[in-house]
Amino acid sequence: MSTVSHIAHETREIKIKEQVNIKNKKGKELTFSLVDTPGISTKIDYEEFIRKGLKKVEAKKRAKEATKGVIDSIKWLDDMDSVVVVLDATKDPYSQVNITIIGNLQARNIPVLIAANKVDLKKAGIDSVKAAFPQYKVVGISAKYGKNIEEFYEQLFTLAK
Amino acid sequence: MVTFKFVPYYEIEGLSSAKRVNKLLKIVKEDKIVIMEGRLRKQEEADLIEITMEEISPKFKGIELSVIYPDKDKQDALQKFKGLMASTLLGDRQGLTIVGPASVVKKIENNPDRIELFTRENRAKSKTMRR
Repeated sequence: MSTVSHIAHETREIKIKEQVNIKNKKGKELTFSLVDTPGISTKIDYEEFIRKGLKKVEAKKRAKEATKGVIDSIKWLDDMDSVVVVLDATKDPYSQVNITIIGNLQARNIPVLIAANKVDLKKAGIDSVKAAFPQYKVVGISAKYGKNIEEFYEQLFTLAK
Repeated sequence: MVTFKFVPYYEIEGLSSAKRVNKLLKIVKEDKIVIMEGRLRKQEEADLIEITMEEISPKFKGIELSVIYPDKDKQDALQKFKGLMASTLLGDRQGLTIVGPASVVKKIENNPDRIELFTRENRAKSKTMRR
């Protein structure tokens, strides 16, 4: 639903897609509303955007929009039945998401599935993602090539039970 | 130099949720790392992040947050019962909450058996706490 960027906080607005339908190998169907939220962060530094090539004005604007996006995401948490946290498996999991945030979802009794993306790349380290989140189900996927998407769907069925 | 400020549970026990969150943020904005006895309520954790986002500015870039909490899956029934009784009588004093300014704390890694806090100043591991 969202675009991809090498600069953090590319998704800064909530996007909703209703009536998403998936089917597993056994033909069982699952229909749900997909809410794509900005990642929940505890820190936003506009200078990091400048280091990635943005001009100061653009970087400050992005930071302001990103903070609003995080606030909106937190407000949406109360309405979620399940959450899929998508991580980049080639990067340090600790720098992408705060474990306390995921613990907060658990405390709210919201089921969590972690999708470790980019497993098609050699430097992907799914084991480090699993080590960072030992209490959660982690599925390695490649969104680009569709790798392991069937397994991901199966886990969505389990999550939505 | 990194400064830690210990906040015992009794200092926040009688405070409203808003005052608890504001107390922690006030300390963090003084460039100190808070080590708080116990943990915030789940809504307070979310409020802490929300208020942090509202206060982000060129000078304040946010927080790093970590909660160390006993793994209840590793506790037997008696230990769980004792923990529940203690929480009911004394408040949720179990665990520790660490909150630091993002300008000082680069990241906090919460591995199953230890907490590692990395600071920005020397880009080196500065503190390790074993559970």
